[in-house]
Amino acid sequence: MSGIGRVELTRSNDTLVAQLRGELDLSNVEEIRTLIVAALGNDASGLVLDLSGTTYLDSTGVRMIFDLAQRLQSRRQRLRLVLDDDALTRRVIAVTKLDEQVPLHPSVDEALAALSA
Amino acid sequence: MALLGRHALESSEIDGLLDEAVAMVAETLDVAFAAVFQRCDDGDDLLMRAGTGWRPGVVGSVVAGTGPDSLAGAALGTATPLLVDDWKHEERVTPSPVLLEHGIECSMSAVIRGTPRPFGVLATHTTQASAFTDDDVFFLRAVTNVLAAALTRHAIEEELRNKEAEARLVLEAGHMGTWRWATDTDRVWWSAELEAVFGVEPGQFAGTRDAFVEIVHPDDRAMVTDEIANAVAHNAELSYEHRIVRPDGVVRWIDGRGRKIPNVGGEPDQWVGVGIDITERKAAEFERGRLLEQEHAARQAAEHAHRELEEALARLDALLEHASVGFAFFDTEFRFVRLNQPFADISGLDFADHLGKNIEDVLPALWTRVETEFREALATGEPVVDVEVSARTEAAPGRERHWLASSYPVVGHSGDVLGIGAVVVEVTVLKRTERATALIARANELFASSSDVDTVIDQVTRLAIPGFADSCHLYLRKPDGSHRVRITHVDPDLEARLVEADARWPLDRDGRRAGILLQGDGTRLLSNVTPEMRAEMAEDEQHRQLLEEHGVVSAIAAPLQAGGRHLGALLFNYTAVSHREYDADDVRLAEDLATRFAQAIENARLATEAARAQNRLTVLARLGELATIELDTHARLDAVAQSVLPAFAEACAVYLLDKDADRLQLVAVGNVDPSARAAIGEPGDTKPLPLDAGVPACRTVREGRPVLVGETGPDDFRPSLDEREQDAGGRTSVIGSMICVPLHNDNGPMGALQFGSSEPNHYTEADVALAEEVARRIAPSVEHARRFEREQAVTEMLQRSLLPEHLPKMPGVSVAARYVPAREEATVGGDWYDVIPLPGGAVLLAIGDVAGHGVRAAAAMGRIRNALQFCALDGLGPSQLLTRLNEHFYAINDADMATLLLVTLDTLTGSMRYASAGHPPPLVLRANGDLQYLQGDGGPPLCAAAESRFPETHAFLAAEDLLFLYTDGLIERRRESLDVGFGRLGDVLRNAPRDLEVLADDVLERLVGGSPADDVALLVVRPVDDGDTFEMWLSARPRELASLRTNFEAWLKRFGTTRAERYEIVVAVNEAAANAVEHAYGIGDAEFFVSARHDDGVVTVAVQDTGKWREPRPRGNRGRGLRMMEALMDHVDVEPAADGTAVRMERRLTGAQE
Repeated sequence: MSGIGRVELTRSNDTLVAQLRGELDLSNVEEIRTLIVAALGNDASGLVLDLSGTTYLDSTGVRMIFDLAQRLQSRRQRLRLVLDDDALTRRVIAVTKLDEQVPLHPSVDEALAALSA
Repeated sequence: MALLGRHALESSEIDGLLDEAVAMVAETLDVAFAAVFQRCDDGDDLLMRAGTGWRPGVVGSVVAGTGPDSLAGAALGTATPLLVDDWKHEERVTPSPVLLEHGIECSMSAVIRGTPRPFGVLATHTTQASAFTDDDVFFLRAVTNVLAAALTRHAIEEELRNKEAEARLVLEAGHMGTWRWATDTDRVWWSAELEAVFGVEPGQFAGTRDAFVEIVHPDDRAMVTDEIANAVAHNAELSYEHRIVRPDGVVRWIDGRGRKIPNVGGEPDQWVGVGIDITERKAAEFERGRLLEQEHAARQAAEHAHRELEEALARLDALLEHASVGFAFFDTEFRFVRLNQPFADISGLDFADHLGKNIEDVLPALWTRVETEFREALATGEPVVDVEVSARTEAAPGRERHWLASSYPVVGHSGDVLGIGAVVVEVTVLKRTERATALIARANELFASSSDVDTVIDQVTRLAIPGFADSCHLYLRKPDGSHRVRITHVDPDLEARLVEADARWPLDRDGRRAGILLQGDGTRLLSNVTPEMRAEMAEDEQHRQLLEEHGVVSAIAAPLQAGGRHLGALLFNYTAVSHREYDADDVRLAEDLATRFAQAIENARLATEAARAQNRLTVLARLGELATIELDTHARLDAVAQSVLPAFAEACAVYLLDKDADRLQLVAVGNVDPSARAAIGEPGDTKPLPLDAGVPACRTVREGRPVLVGETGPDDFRPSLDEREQDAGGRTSVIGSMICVPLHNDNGPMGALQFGSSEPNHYTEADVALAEEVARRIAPSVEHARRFEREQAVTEMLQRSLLPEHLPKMPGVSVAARYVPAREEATVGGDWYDVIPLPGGAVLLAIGDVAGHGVRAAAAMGRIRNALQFCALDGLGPSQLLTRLNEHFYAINDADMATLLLVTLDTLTGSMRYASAGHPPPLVLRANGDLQYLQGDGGPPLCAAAESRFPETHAFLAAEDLLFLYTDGLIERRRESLDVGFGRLGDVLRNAPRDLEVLADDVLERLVGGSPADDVALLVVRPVDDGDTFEMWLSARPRELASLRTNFEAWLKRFGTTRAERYEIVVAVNEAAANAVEHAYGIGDAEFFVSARHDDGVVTVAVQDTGKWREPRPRGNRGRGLRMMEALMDHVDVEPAADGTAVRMERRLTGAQE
């Protein structure tokens, strides 16, 4: 994995929590996407993408999230994003209208709660 | 035998041993007689010491001879026992009376050996003949051997005992013994002690006065006997010291004393006394005496040496009196001991005033120069030879004298240095001759090496200093009677003030100052100049003080005359500095110098005259050449101004009448010395002169005839300089004399030619004629220039008005431009350039050349320029622009053919596109010095054909590269290939200065010299890294993106951006860069270039790649990047092209720094 960013994967019940840390760009997005997809499998009920530790996100990262959303949707799995209100990446999320497709939560707990509701 | 042997060992008594031996021999051999004979001390007899069988009285008294004829004597001489078998038939030896008395028939004897001589003989006898056998002989021999051993032991023991006794006695007696002398019998008794003193064996003293005298040393015997006789005769005490020679040969000293015992009752006279061994005391006395003797001898030797020295000095005195060199002898303290008159003459003091005085006090000046050497001679004992000494002494205070001094140590017989001798030879005359010869040689060298009067004058006064003078004055009479003055002094400071004073109080026309003649016809010697004389020469009190400080004490004034002409005078002074005095010899040297100098000046003058005559021919020849070369009017006038230099003038000026013929305008100048150009001024920086002014130029024009000015006033040569420049301080004073001649055309004077020399009175009538000839020859050219001057001005004015007044100022790029009209009026017009900023940081550069010249070409150029400016704003590229312009102008058939080169330069990326319509290729000088012409396909000139294609070419211009656009007038020459011109331009550019404005001037100056045959336009452009720009080349690889983001954000921080602002701009830049990476042809060596600029709160970014962008797809992810850019930036522009895509973005910053 590229040195600029990494993903930490954990499970909470049947939900996969992927914490994206550091920078996501053209150089490492594909690798991170593969890791997440592999961990996700078909049995997970959903995916929480935690972007609160993400310092940089470019359009390829956004594209990855769109791709994941599309993939989960086709498997009836759900996707939640975790992002601080004042995160710099929020501007990118907003510009690409990602927030209109995927619900945003301020914390992982809240995202998990929303998924189990 | 054994018994005898044992006894011999034990016995300490010789007599007993001998007795026993004879008894044993008689008994053993069974004979009646045996005897031992002992050899007596005197050695002449053998005494029977022991015996048996003999009648009484024999033993102890019978003596046998030691001769070979006696039995005992014969035995002594041989080691073998002597056997006499039968005395009756014996023939070898004779029987002694004792043998015969005792009826001895047969005898045997054997020697008893001893040390150092035989002890004696053992003999045995019998009354029967042939009684002894060989065994008996052997036996006898054995007995003698035993006896010899025993006796030798005894002898040694006895000697030991005697020696001990002797030593003991001597010690006990204190080397003293007593004697007694009976005068009547002359018998003398010595005590044992006295015998010891006299070395006589105890009891062996013979006991007579003679025996005593015998022991006395032969030299003292007479004295001793006299003393004794005297004492006896006068009944006085006896006392004497004498030597003795002891029997063992040792000489001792004896103190003998004695007196007569008072005589009582007729007894015979007796004397008693003592003898004392005083040898030791005598030895000590003798040693003292020897020392005393030595001392005495030494004293005598010293006295002798002194006498010897006195004699030597006396001889020296005699020599000194008659010597021609100085001799002196000093003691070791350098006090005069002797000297001769020549030496005394050194100091000038009396002879007697030297003696006993230290040389340091008598001749201090001399001493300081020889002290080291003289002391060395004294210390080392080595002579010091020929030390050169120069000094002045009281004998001749004003005159430096020279000597060769030698010194040698004077050594006495004892080897001690007694003092120093000095020999001093005066070499003053020799020295002065040498110095004079050297001075003349240097002068000759100077006069021969330089024919330049100024150089000679400058150096001649230096020659004499400081050897021949402390100060030197040169007065050269000028034609007007004043003097050219040159003063040198050993002290530069005083020299400056003397020069100043001389300028203030110059000599009058007769060569006098304050009425005193300094410069006359004959040489004058003032050997002793007094303060009164100095005061007389002073013009005032201040002058007097200066002259007093100068303090001339002696002077020579030598006239300078050559070829019957009186040129001036040369003054040599000795001053307070050296206090020397000139004499008659010096006068001759001064005259010699002056004569040679005058001749040198005269020669230089003649040489100058000859050179000037040659120069006139040179000037005329050059003017002839000028007429054959095509030059415009100003160039021609400049050439004229230059061609008379330096042969005819040091400065030249050309004036022309203005159109109203009432003012003169300076049009050309020339000056030999470029640094003095300001003094003459530039043609353009001066005001016109009213023709009625009184200056020479105006007079010449008014009067129509030459004006010769021998000595110019301050504003004669350049009256047109404004007052401020004239006030700046005698700038025109570089001109000393001048000629002014009118320039005529058919109608009369139209201007003036002016020639100047720094030297006053330089020009003669011959020069005036030459000046007129020059004027006559160049007049037609000048007339021609005047006629076309106005027309040319009109065209040039129009041309200049059609060019950009100011170049636009753009960030990221420096631009400079030049237009130089052709020097000939007929070829002015048509060259042009323009710089047009385009939206988005690009700029359009144009340079062109309209065919034809004059007003028509200028007008056509103006129309093309307007059309270009209009079309450029439509955002067309170079190719499209050229196509459109060609269509337009061809259609209206309004323009002549024109070349045009268009370049669009992206000032951010350095990306260039260019297209050419028949124009020479642009030139790029890379920052690393590489030079390349940007060749392209190019199209034909505009208006050449109705439909022309103008292919476009792409190139990059990096920061610090230089783009150079020009018209052909810069490189074209007649009869020369264009390649030569290209090469020349390249050479000049490579060595051009960095600043573009300076560079533009430099290129023009070097290639066309500011006066081209054809118009020249040029445009230079250089992208500059001004800190507000960002530039980064990146490999087309995803991993490069993080680096780009880091660098770019860092750059953005410079401009007061907020964190969110930076993030958004970085995202946008990253998106463009990610596209460049994705679109690159392959992922190999492809690169892309990111550049940005901050300008007045706006950040402009360009990302240039070498791939092809795809149009954004509305629903695709790739389109998302572009949308993000557009959302995050104020303006985004994507320019796809065949060879790459450029994304250009802009965003205005809010300005708050976080």
